[in-house]
Amino acid sequence: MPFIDLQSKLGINVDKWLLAQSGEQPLKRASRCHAFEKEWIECSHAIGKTRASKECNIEWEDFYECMHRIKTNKRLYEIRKQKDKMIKEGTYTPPPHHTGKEEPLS
Amino acid sequence: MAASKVKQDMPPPGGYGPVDYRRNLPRRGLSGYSMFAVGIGVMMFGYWRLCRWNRERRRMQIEDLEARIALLPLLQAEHDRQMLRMLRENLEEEATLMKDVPGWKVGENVFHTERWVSPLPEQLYNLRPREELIQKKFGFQWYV
Repeated sequence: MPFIDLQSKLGINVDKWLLAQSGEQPLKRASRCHAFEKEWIECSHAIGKTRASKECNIEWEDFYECMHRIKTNKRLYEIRKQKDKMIKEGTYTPPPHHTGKEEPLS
Repeated sequence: MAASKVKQDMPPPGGYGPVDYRRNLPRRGLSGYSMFAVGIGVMMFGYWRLCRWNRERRRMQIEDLEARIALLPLLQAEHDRQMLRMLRENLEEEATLMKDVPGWKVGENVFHTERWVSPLPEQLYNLRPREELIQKKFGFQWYV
């Protein structure tokens, strides 16, 4: 219920841990996107959805990118594709530490 | 038949001696209750020894963990150096690879913020063979 904080009254934590990654977590371990989510929540708190989608767009985009890593993976894919293309053409040889023949790093 | 003296296998003169044909089922050994008692006693002794050794092992494990805690700055520094080295190598390779690709900004940050974002294993192992990435991600799970 929105205005009756029943869970604090009863001293139980039924679903507060579920609601946001930035909430209190067991063993105090921060999630991967804790900072981004906190920024976005602090930016978009109490201003309503329409205003938040306009004013907090940057924080939202960073948070979304942190969670799904779409832009990161696309970049990595482009680099890999270009590398394979250049190896096929013969214009590029990978340096020794990228060939997999050296000792693997721990 | 003729009464000739043929050599046959006959009993000894005077017959055989006495044969003991009576049942011989001696009552020996422990009773059922005492066998249970001996078994349970041995088990209890075993459990007690095991419990003591497990407590000793737990003390040894705590010692190992405390040694790791003492070494954590070193391990963290090594890990960070490793990560930065791999990121640097990837940046240089990316510069050589994407020279001729139009509109590509080398080392472009996908986030709008200037904060440090921990790199994913995919980012670190992007230009290495796929097995290394798989080993990094799942090698610990498969370790026996």
